[in-house]
Amino acid sequence: MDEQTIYEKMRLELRRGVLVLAVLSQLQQEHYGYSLRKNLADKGVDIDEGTLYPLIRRLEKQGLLQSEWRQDDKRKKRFYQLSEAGEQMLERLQKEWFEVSSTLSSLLKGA
Amino acid sequence: MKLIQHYVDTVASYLSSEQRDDISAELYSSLSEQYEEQCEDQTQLEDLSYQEAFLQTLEHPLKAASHYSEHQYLIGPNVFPAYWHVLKTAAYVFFALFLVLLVVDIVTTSKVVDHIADLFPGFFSGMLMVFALVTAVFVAIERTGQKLKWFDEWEPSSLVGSELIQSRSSTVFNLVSELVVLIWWNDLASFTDWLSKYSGVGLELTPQWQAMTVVINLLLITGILWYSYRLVQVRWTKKGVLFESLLNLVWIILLLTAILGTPMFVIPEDFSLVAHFDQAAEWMARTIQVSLGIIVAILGWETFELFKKYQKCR
Repeated sequence: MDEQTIYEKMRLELRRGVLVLAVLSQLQQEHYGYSLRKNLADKGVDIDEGTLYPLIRRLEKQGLLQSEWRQDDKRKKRFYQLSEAGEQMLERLQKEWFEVSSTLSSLLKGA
Repeated sequence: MKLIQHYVDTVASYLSSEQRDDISAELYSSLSEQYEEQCEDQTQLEDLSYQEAFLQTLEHPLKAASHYSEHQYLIGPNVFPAYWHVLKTAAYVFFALFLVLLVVDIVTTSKVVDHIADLFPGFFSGMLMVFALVTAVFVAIERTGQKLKWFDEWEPSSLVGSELIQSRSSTVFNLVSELVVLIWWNDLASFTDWLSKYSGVGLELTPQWQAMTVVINLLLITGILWYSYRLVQVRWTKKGVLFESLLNLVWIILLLTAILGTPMFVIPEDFSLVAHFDQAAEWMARTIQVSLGIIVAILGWETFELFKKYQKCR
């Protein structure tokens, strides 16, 4: 395995860990699948369909999201938004993220 | 958007019935919106080549469907180490059982080559069966979310150093050696024909050693049972070390008796007229003595190693 492949693999693993947080943060406002994907891409988080849709389904199954089918722009779409449990989870994960981020920053600066 | 609908239908065909309608509706809605955004007019929208180019950027339908499945594996990383350990042990035990059955078969029919050839297809199908059974049990453990007690209930004090972990390959080697000797000792596979063919001289057991037939058989069977038991044991214990040392010591005494005292083999008188009889007989006697000497040395070294293990056992 060459260096670039190893780098790509590690980068993917690193980003995968924070995808849940990214998705939860954007679903404080209502989105359907494609609009959520575009929104994330605009903010620098590229995520393919194969990852995003199963992820939001898993989050919904865990009770962190609520969804409903609605007609929008002549098409039936499924809209997602954070549930109450999702909001609490986002708050806790956000706190954790800031702690990890601060610890890592000091570690990386020290290195 | 015919081709997009086909893509979604194919993805849906790989999903479970509970997920199918919901996921395919959402996927179609999303893909058709993306496609519409890319098309400049109605003509492009219905153009199959445009749809094809768009679908080419997506994953294979089977791969796309696989993301929705909760279980992407038969045996996951948490269960795999235990699965691998059990699979290896089961394979070794089956191999030992096969060898024992082989010996029983040879003893009862006395047709060595034919029966080995007959039993080998059974050996491979048996090994496949072992693999399938162990895998099925562990897939069930993985699917039902059962926890393996081994991982939760362990005591640091029960751990031992690598020198006390049993080597399965050496156990199998010992097991096979004992089985070969057992077959040979009971005259089921004879080397004397081969010897007489090349040296012109035959061999037979001396009367004193013939009287020992039952004792030697008992020793060999004890050894076979012991090595079969050792296959499922992970580490050496004091009792195990003592038992194997005792077996080795008995063998050493017997073999030293054969080298220094009562010879094990004698050349029958019928061969006394063979040309160069004396030289051939001397060569054979020396060869036997050296071979037995080598076996004694190996057993002695093994017993010394066992002695060192005994000191390390708690």
